[in-house]
Amino acid sequence: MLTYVVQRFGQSVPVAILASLLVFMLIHLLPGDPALTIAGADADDATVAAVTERLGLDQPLWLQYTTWLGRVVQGDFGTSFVSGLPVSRLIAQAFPATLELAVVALLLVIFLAIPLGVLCAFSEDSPFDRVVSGLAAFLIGVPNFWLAILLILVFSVSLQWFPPSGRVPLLADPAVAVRFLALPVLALVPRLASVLLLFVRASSLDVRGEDYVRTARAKGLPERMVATKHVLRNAMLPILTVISVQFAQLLSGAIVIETVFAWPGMGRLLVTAVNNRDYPVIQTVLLIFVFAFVLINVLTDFLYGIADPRIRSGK
Amino acid sequence: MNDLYARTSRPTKNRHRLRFLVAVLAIALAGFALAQDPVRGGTLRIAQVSEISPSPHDLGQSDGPFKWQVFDTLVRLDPDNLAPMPQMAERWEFADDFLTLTFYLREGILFHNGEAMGAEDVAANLRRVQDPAAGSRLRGTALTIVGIEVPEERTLVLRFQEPNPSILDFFAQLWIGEPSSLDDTTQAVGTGPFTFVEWLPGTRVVLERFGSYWKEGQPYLDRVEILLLPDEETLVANLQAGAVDMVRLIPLTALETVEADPRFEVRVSDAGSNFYAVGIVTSDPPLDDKLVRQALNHSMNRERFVRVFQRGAGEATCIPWPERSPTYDEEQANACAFDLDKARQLLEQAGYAEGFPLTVEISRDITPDMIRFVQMWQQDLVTLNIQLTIKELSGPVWRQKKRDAEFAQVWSDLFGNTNREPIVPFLQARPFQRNVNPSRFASAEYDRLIGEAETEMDTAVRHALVRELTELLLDEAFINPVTYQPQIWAYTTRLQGIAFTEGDQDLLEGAWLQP
Repeated sequence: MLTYVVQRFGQSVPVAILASLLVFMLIHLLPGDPALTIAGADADDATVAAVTERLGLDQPLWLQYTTWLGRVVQGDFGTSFVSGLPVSRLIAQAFPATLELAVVALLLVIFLAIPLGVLCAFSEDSPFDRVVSGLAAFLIGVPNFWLAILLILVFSVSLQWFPPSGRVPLLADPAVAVRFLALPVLALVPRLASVLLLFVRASSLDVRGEDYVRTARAKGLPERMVATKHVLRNAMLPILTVISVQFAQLLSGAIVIETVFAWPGMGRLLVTAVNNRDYPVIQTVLLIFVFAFVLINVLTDFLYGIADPRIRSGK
Repeated sequence: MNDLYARTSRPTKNRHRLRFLVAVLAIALAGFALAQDPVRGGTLRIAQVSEISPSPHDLGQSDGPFKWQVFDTLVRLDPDNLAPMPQMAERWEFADDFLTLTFYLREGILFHNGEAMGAEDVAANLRRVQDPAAGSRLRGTALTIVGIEVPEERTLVLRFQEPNPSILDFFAQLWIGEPSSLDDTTQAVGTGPFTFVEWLPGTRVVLERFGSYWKEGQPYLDRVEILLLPDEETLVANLQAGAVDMVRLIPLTALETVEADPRFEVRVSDAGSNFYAVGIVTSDPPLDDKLVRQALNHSMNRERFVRVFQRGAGEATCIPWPERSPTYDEEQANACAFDLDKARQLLEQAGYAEGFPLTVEISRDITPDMIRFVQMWQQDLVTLNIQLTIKELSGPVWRQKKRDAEFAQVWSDLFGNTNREPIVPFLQARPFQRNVNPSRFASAEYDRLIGEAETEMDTAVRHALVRELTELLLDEAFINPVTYQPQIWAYTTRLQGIAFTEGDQDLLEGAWLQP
């Protein structure tokens, strides 16, 4: 397994380099000069030229790219054009925030969606199934930003139970951090949980009709055992795929939620950097997203092996 | 010499009567508050949308409120009449030929690192602003200083090749930073009432009371925490939820909500420092004909925009001067009144009765409220057979086009610098500058008037020249102000002693929180 993981990461290096080259070319194709963000549209020619030189943007594109890549290999992601801070510091501040939100939201999604999805499948067409599935279908259509603002109005402005924005790191002060996390998580969970719930339900219904499930029941196994050991485990592969996609999406920044709740994560960092044409930040954030996607794919493959021993043994 | 920049304040207009009454009430309440002694201590929590930039020489308008707390200037402008007042400079003198200016600095001013602030430090700041690599927006004016001398520790002598009537405005904008910290764009070491303690970009800024601030006893607050929010729609929610004590620059849509809440004081700037405008490119037909440009100017229903979309907070105007400016003229301000018949007549006179297609380029990042204006204008233009296409641009693209004068026909603009000595916008704001304005407008008369005004030290003569320039702006209609951008603050009624600069930036040095 270790060799497999190392191999997969090895394969990801050319992917990352290719992705970084594409990103580099694309952001330089975007109209808008970063020097003007700093010097302002009213600046004279000499000022704009000097700022351009200071940022290294007067160099040929290939030289700018190779210089940046050479530094990245040595662990130096450069300096933000706008704030003047090292990009690594900005990432070190934003990534834990995003990871924290993603992990907490995803755990809640899993704990809600999987049991409810299985229950719905096992009580197909019952009033419970209809209400839960119908609610899930409805929640998929509810826009995140609308729900976020609604939560702020109800729980922050009216009831004053939770702060409307900001973040305290979970490890710094867990009790306070949970209060800050509550609303962003509540805004994220309904849609993600609904998608997963409907997947779990559909996948479980497929497996429920299989011969081996009938056999398990014929053996006299309790229904709970049939649901967990035979149905859920065999329905797990597509569910794992959905979870991994959701996790990757959360890691690449829940941009709307981060914006509304002023959650200082990667999504906000990227949007601000794009608006300011802050090239070093854009390139680094996107490079991290590429690696995050590769890592999640490797982890998903690993979990496939646990869920289905046939994959592990290559049969 | 003493009448340099002498100005008279203007009477409040009728439409400000309600605000006047509110102001009287506020003054009465303030009088009551003043009867109590300011209370030392406490943390003021502020929320704002814009990011900060610690460098004193990056003049981002949006982070001025941060800079005014950490840095200080040699001169301040009186918010009522824009007259220069001593700040870190105790006094100043011009030579008879106006080619030398001597500043005498106050004694006992310290930087936050404990170093004494002297004339050498001001000189270092000036040299840095002159360096194009610093990217300062004040560089143009700084370059008019051809000699910097420091004969004594607290005496600074500046020499000019030509008289510069806007130089004191320049010193009212130049924040002085500790020289060794200037190249570190992540540090802010000034002489202001609060020290810069922490900055988490995009998240928050923490300032703490500077115990050695040169104004005796001030500041009163122990700490100022600035929460940086990415979405202006959530500013008011934070205030209502009690998460912050003050919000800066809230959207117009939230004005009625905060005004109706007795827990908050609301301040709406009543003479703006930033103006919305419609610029017109003059190089190609049909817009090269000034009659067509005048017709477009008369087809803009500014009053309706102010009433409906700005909730009465702005003021329809045809000129770039706020009411408190010495060159404000009510007749000129109303010279382009909405009149579709007149516009039609002008178009007929120019031979464009059949109309023409027109494109306006606009960026929501730069002029967020103006999208409503151009949509409204689009409907009025239909009656003149002009089909207006609205083309939206991102902020960076808009900036690039403005700088390179690449707008095709018409664009929506936002310009500042008009709340100072009136010659300043013609020298610093691109829409008014000679040779580089995005309208591609050029005229010998325009050049002559700016050339004469920029070195004219007699205030009355200079302001008369600016009034002529304003008349020329109205006649040529290449840059057409619409209304000013109202700036709205809302804060808890517990906050006392807050003041505002001429540019509508809050000053917290005298602010305190009622227990």
